[in-house]
Amino acid sequence: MFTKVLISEDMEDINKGVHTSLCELGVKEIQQVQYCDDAYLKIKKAILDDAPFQLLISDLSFKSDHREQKFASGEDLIKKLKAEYPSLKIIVYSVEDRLQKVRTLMTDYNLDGYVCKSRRGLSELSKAIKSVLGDKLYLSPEVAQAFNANNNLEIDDFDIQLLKQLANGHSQEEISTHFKNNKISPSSLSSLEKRLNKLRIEFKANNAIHLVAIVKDLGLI
Amino acid sequence: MKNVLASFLFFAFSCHTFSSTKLNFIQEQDSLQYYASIVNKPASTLSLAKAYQFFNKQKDASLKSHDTMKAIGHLRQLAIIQHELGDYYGCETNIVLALKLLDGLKVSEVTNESKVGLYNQLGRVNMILLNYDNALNYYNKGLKLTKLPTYINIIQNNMALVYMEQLNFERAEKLLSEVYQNSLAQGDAEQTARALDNLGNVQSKLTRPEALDNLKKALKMRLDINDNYGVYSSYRHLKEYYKDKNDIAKASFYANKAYEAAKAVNSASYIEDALSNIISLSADPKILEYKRLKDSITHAKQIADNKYALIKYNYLKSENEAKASELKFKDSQIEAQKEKLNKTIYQMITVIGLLLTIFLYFIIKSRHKKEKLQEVYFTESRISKKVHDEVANDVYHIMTKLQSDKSSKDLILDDLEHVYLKTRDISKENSIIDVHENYDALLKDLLLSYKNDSINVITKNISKMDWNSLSDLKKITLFRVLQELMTNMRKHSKASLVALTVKASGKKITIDYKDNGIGCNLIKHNGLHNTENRMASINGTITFESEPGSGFKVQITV
Repeated sequence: MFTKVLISEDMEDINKGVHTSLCELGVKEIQQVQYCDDAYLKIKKAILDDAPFQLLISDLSFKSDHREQKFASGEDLIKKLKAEYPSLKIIVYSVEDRLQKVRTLMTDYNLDGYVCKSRRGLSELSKAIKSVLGDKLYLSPEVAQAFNANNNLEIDDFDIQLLKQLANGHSQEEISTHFKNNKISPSSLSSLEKRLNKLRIEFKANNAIHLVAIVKDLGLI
Repeated sequence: MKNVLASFLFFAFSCHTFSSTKLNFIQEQDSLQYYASIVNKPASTLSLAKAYQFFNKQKDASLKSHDTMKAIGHLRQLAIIQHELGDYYGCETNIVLALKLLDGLKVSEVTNESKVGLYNQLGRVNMILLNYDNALNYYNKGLKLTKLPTYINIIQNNMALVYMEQLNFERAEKLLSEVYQNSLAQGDAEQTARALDNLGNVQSKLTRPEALDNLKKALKMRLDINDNYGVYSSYRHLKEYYKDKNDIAKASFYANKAYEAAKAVNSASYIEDALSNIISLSADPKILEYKRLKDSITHAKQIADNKYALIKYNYLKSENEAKASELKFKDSQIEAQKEKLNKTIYQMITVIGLLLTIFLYFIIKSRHKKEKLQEVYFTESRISKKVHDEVANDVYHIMTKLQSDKSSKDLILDDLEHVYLKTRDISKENSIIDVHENYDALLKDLLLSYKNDSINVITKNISKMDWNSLSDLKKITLFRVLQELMTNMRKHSKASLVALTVKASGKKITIDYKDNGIGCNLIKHNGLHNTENRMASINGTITFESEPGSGFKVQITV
């Protein structure tokens, strides 16, 4: 388990919660800060003292108050830290669940984990810490689809072609030969059948006729 | 002196010949003809002065209306009048002015003809002013411009008279005999008689034997055609002839004849000349001395007059110039004042325009500010209403639940989570969107968030569209509109499938939304009304189409 962890979070209640779960995980040294600038200074000092933090758990948005801050948000802090100390693990614990933001943080700054504050937030955070310890990325279920290829909404040209052929009354065999002749792949019967099944599920159709009716109704072909 | 007088008379005739032919094309109103006739046959100097006034006015009017040809005609009439009145310098000026105007015109037969007449007149004026070389020069110029035998004869006749003044009798004789031959060939009796008479006169000076014959022949011709002025001239020349021959009896016979002719013409100057001729034949040396003295005094007076006229003319000219320059100065002053006034006006206009612009700018700015404030206020009240409707009610509900029965912790937690999610939704709906890159990903994320086990969202061409052609404002607006549509769908439609098709149509982008929900009666609720406002603000359109039971269709164009 990590031995030295820093929590950067402006809400004290949440701080306490995180602290408790870290204790439960058996982390020996836990420090807490309420400002991004403090977090940066602490991490820097720890490195100079030759006792660096192994993990930073940070929020993204901080309420601004009388203290003027160099780092206006957690994002700025993470950007700076990851650029200076790439070996430091960082997990974001935030309300923010916009996929784009998550993607940017994960891909651009090489974030190690992203946990959304929700009802099961703390237990997910525990999971995330464990996963990061094993050098694995962690994403809360809410934002997991940010990198989920299965969640592609776009219907592709091949599907449209297939549905059009079907709507014109062609059998699967006829479609297969048509695709072969026009060098559209895949054109094998089995792959066509697979694709049609997938479409049926996607469009919640009971059979091929129903599928065509739905797709026509939606104006996709 | 006698010669001078004779030639003067002769010029008057030749001049009349010219001007009357010229007059044919200066046909005008009655007054014009009336004054022209005065010029041709002056009754008195007073009527000439009146005619001068008239033609001067006419000339100015013609010059103003740029009728150059008419102006030249009037100038010629003025020159003739001035000649008649003895204002030779003024006459010369007007002729030169007319010539200048003619130079400005396109060369034609008419302009050439005019020029010939003007040059002839100039020659005559210069001869009177005793500038013989100038006179000859002008006659030559005139000769070069004409081929009409009549004109040539007249001009050459005049030239011969100049030669006579210069005492160059041989040359005069040669020229006059030429003129005589030409006139004879022309059949112009008056001109022939004149040439012959002058020729005889010259010959008498040269003591040629044929002189008397020619003089008598000319007299006979003139008597035949009743040329009274000519007859007088002939008698006078005959008298000269006999006087030169010292035949006083014959000389006084012709002198008396000349006196009778002068009486017939009834011209004071002619009669005076005739009487002077008779006196010159007197035997009394005292009378002769008186006559000689009188002539020389007259001559001297004439020269003095000429000189005085020149000085006066020059003075008048310089005075006129001074006046003109003064006028010009005044004009320029007025012009400058006008300019100054204009400048002031323009400056005023500019200043007023500037003030107006500034004024308008502030009005528009304040109006814009008002609108903005209204927008902010509107948004605030919308959010506040949402918080009240969706959050406060729910929290109150949980509070009462907690008070009334001790329901399980999990159930309360569920309710609280529900409220929490709602607040997050509200925050998301109003948060800042970063549309600078990956707009298609942003849209997909948005749509993805509405996808769950019971609702499937399918899109077409979102990734293929070039979203960069849209401005940031349009991107944000489109995002919000789609967000509201999808939220509306989740809340009310009970749809299981939603399809969004993106198409590029020209420069515009069209998005077709369709779901398989329960549809509605298209009574706009607040959210959808808001989308219309949003689309209108970016010059986009949004149309809804729905009936209960047949899903919901929206077309957005941006």
